Amino acid sequence: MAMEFLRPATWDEALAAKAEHPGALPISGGTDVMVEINFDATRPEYLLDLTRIEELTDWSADGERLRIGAGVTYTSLIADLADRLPGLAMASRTVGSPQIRNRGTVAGNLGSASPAGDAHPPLLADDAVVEAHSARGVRHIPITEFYTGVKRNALEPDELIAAVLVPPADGPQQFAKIGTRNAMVISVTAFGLALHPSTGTVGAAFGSAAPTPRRATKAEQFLAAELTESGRWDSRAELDPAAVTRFGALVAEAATPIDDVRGTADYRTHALSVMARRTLVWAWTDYRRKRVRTCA
Amino acid sequence: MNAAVSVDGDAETTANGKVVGTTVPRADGDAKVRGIAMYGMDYTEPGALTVRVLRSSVPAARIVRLDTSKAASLPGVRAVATAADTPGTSGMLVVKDQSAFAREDVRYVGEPIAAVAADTPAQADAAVAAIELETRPLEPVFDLDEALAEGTRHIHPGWSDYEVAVEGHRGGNLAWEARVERGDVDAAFAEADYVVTDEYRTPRQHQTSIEPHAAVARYENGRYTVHTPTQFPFMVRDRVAEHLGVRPSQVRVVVTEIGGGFGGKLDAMLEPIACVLARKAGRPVRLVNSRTEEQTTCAPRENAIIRLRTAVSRDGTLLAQEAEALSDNGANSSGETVLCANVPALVLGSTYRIANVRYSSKVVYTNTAPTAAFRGVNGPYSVFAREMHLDHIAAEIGMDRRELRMKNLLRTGDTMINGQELDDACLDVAMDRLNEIAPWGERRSEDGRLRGIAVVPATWLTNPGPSAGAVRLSEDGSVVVTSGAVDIGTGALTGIRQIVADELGVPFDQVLIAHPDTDTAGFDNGAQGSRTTFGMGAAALDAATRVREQVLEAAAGMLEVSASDLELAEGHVAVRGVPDRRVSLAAVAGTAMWTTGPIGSTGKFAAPPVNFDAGCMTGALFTHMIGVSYHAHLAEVEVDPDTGKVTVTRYAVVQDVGRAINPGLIEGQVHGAVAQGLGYALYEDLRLRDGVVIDTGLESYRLPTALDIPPIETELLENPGNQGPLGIKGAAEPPIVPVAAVVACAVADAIGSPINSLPLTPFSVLAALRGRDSRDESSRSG
Ligand SMILES: Cc1cc2nc3c(=O)[nH]c(=O)nc-3n(C[C@H](O)[C@H](O)[C@H](O)COP(=O)(O)OP(=O)(O)OC[C@H]3O[C@@H](n4cnc5c(N)ncnc54)[C@H](O)[C@@H]3O)c2cc1C
Repeated sequence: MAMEFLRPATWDEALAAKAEHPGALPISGGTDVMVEINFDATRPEYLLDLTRIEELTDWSADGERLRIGAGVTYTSLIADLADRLPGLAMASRTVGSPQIRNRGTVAGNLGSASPAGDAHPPLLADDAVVEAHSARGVRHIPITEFYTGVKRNALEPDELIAAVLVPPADGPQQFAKIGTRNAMVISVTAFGLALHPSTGTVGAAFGSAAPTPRRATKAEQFLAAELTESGRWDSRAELDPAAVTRFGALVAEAATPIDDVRGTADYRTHALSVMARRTLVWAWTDYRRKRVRTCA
Repeated sequence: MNAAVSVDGDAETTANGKVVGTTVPRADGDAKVRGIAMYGMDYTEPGALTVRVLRSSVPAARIVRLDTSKAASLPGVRAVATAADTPGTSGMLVVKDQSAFAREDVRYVGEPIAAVAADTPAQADAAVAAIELETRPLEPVFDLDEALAEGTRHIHPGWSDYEVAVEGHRGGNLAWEARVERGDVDAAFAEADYVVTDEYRTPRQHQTSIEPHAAVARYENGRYTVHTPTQFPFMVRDRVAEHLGVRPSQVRVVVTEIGGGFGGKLDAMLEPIACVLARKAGRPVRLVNSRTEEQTTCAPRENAIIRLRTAVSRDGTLLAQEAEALSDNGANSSGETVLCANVPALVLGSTYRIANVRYSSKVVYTNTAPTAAFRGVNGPYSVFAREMHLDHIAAEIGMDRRELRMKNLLRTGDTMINGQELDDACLDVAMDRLNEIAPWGERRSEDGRLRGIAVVPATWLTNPGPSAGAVRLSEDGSVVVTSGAVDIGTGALTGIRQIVADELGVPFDQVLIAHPDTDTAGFDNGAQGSRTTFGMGAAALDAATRVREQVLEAAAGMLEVSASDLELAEGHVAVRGVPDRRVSLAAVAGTAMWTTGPIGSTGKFAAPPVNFDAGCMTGALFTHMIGVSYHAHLAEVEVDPDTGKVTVTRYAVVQDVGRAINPGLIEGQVHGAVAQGLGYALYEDLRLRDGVVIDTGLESYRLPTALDIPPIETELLENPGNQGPLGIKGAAEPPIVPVAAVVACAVADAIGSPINSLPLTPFSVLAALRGRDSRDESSRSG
């Protein structure tokens, strides 16, 4: 079956094309789409190439949030935004290989909505918002409402992702991933942590351990309360080891993993608790060091 | 023993203008780097049809009905082939139990049942889908022990009718057995202070060459011509002929560039199918495997079980050893697994002194894809078992692990278990050198990570196969070598050019090598077991020596001096001591052309005979070692106690190469072999469930990446052998052999718990750590 290749030059044309052909498959970096097509797993009637639309590759500061265009690659995100979005940049560095990072985009990761996508935990931990456009208008989808099932997301058939809106880090962020080797690896499980001292809240989320990327809400609430009640946001005193352990256990509790070719459910749950504890210790060490620097 | 050679010398010629011993850049490198090289999968012929293969989806069944008539009548379909078109029964040299297409029974998932050739891929796919196949399931056999058990269904009910090259122990699901027995094993066990027993299990490892198998065949003038990226063109020729029931001379194999093989491209796979369809269609056909077909049907390293029992005295002397090695043959003997049946025994008994042994190596049929050679064949798992078992012994008797090894190490003049004397053994030198590079001792960690270290010595061989070559002097003074040797990607043919260049005193770039073609080249035993520089190098040197004599004779006439007063250098023949009196090789070639006739000669090599005790072995096809080399590897590892992740922090290799023709190329082979060995140790496991390969692609079948490989410290020892040319020993295969062993021993050291199976995934290491912790707890509470 022939595939038609649509190459809109402007965003409006793209939205019009998507409205006219809701079944058209958008293609950005193509690092997911081309694999599917090459293996004959998908045969869409229309491919909608978004790479001619230059404005998609821009990022900007949009009020409280950074606005990352849908065409921004992992490579440029790492180069330009690692200081303001350290968690997302850490996750980006673990994606595939240099070639994949040169083409792949966060929007593509969102489009695929794989539970194993590495961008998801930091986006969840940092309260990102997906900016979806259609010929009908603009819709802001909170990231927690974006993932609707295994490889399914909340986009309407006529919608495209224009950008992802992410608040710049107001505290330390961490990301950890376990794979069966050191590069070019889909995570066995991954974990993202963002501490938000300005609001006294915590973001904690994981991938590859549930049908969708997921926040560990109870763990977030526990840790936020623990840090607030003990006065540690201000004192920056060392963490209570029991609290670190509890945090790890609560993260693991939030997971509902399965056994698959990459790893077992049991290992995933265990590894999540390890990563949660470790990233928390790293992040807190970072937070304490920052104070020393400001005092000096 | 010469001093260690430097591997990073970049001089292109030595002081005397010679290129042997220098890192000449690979002659095939430029085209490969630029993407110009024409690999097997790039090759096609005008009008070539696309071939698709109908493969079995079940592991064991009787074929009740196979009807291809509907498929044959579909548009674009030019030919359909089934077992009726391939009457022969073939196999890798020893047991002939394989048909190109399943005949009465299918014996593994992925076995070819029929194939079609059509104008387009879509038409070929449609035709495959239209083939009508009815089967009745048979009881499948997967487990090695169960396969050998009384009452298990025989996968080859007609096994006793198969043709065999030599007689051996076999029967039912035992495809082959090799035995070695020496000394008085029972008496030694009766005297022992300690008896240590272990069992080890290892997985299938896939060669995973970047280029899949591919074949383009045509049929003309009653002969088949097939272009294929094979490691062993003469084997493919003979196997195609056997399958098709024609004479080998009716088949011509032309070798393309090869995008990797590692043993996976020694046997005929797609070639017989392509040839039969080319004849039936009357058109060229092209057949290229998908990655999934590669992973599921192309002959990986066999999974194995090794059981060891060793009698030891209090002072660490190895008194006696018993071993049973079970290797999975898969559904037939199309690979080298039967041929290599005795390798585990040779490996177990070639590095340490053990006077009394009883070894049995069994190759077992199962309803799985056939297994075959992969770099190092049975070596990596046999050394893994041997060395982990030694660590167990060391722990049992309370002896330092290195000391136990040094105490029992074979020294110069000692004999291996086959009675073969090692008159050039230098295992002790290699171990000592390693100890200077990284002194032995405990590795402690300050950060909670578990650290471990291990050293492993190993002895390895060079494939002894024969070779023929031809060398001729062209009219412009350049030299052309014709041979059936292929460059599988190691750069071996660059080494051949270096040898010939020095013998004839011509610059390296003046030596060319003709493309291997079984119609024009003499026999060569294939790119396997590091033999190309050794065997083909010897044949090329033999031919070049004769060419040199012809050159000197012709030049002597031209310069009016005695041939003994002449020397060859820089493409000229000169009177020794009078460099001005010289003639160019072009002039010599031109003169000879019309006087003595064109200058050229053939050359040949066969491995010299070796003394060993043939009486201690039965069923052994590998009885002894040729071009024996000696190795010592060191690994240091860190283990994350919470996740089980293993990081190799240091890796060092000291390797006896006999004589380094091209040190840089050898170092490249060491790096590649260690990387593949680390893959086997840490990541790779071609998993099967109920006979179905789970890892159908490279997403779940994990090869190591550059980020998984530590810097590899390499030191080459030159300890010249006397069986190959110029002291050469095989160098490319052996560095994979000790890798899994040394990594596993280091991990076991780090976690304080033995390792009995591979690979060392985070999951298995974590499980081993938890097992240790629960043992500790139970011993504390108890
Ligand atoms: C070798 C390899 C290694 C990889 N390693 C990793 C890894 O380590 N971690 C990881 O997370 N992923 C990995 N991936 C997957 C992939 O690279 C990522 O998911 C990447 O983020 C996809 O981005 P893309 O721009 O290439 O998306 P595309 O392939 O172009 O698109 C992906 C999906 O998003 C949709 N889409 C794209 N843009 C839009 C838009 N603007 N609006 C709406 N829908 C859109 C597409 O229709 C498609 O469904 C790997 C892939 C390969 C081939």
